[in-house]
Amino acid sequence: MLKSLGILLIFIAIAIFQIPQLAKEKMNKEIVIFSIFMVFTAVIAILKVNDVPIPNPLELIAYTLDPILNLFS
Amino acid sequence: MEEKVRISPFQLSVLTILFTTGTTFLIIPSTMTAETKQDAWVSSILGIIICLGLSYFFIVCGREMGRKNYIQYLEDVYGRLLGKMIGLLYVFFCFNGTAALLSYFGFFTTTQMLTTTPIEVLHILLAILIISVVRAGLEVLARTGELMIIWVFLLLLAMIVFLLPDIQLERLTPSFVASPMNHTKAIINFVAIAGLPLVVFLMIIPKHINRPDLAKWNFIAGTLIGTGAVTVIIVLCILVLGASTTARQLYPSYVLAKTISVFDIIQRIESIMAGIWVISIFFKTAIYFYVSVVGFAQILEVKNYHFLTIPMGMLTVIFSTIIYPNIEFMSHWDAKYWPPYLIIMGFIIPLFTLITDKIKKRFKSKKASNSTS
Repeated sequence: MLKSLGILLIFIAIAIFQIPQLAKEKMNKEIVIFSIFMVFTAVIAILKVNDVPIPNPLELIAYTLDPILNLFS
Repeated sequence: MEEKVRISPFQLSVLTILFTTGTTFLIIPSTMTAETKQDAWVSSILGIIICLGLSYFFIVCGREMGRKNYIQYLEDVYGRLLGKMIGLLYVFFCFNGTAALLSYFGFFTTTQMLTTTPIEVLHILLAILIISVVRAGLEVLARTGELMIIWVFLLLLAMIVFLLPDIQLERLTPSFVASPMNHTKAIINFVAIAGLPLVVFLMIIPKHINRPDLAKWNFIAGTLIGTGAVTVIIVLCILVLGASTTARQLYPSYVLAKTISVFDIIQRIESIMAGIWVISIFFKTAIYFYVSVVGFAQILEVKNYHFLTIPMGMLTVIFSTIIYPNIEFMSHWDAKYWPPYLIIMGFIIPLFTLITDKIKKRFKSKKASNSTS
């Protein structure tokens, strides 16, 4: 619980640092994208510190490559 | 997204050298000698020739692209939706590459030098560096490269000179006994680790070069010097450690640096020598990260990429511990899936794109000539 709170604090600090810079240049679309990305990253980070297994992207690549490799072997 | 960043052709070759030597220095001597034993130098020289051909191929691709970067070009050739999807594949590839390289750096440091430090700390340290350098831009990265390459070459030269007394030429015998099959496997490994990742440079050439006409030879020369330096390391490993000892090590070139002993005075300088690997891994990671961030910004069609660096960097740090859960998985995955994956991403897709573009252009010019006549 404490770990998750710490991660949330870090992410909020980064958002406070970054969003005014974007707002000054009136980049509204960028602010939306940034917020979605930060929420996504924060969710993954909180899952990670609470030891929830996260799918490995390399397993995905291996899964898609396996049929091709089987053709050659 | 329009960016007005220009680097000089010399800076391009510096980045190419640092990129090709990146992790290659550390891991390739053992994979090569495992396949072809003391003949590994032959297969690495053959590998250099293929790498040069590949870099020429990327230059040809770059010439077709004009003043666009690779992801804009993909959208041009395949249409908006399909182009963006293939672009996402490249972003995914570069994202994985960044996380994997952070992981490499972490494994290397925790197994060899800082054995009690948690691996995440090392990932975060390198990630902070690459986030700040990519936020600063490509020009800053290129100028840092110009400063650092001197150190890489000085240390490399020092290592070669210090190891000269330990060389035993008979370790190269019996020569030319490896079978063609083993040579092919070794060459594929060499090209997949040193040559094919150069595909990410399609995001930099020719758009961000101030003299695109000179970029060709500088890029090819950079590849030649980078792969040549790797070959020198392989030859040194065989001459000093012997083929079978090299094949058994995880990081043979680090062991090589440990064996340095000049008149019993200059000894155990491997931590200084590790500067070579740390500097080149930093540049390789930074280039991968730059390409993934710029590519993602291109796909989202936002005004600049700088705001994406921090969230993407944090995501990379999280995935750097997931992507390779342990060294066993790393060596298994790298041996089995990395070469075919890189052949698809680095050769087949660019070649297919090039051919499609040529056919499309011919079709268009035919239509234009028909309509005018």
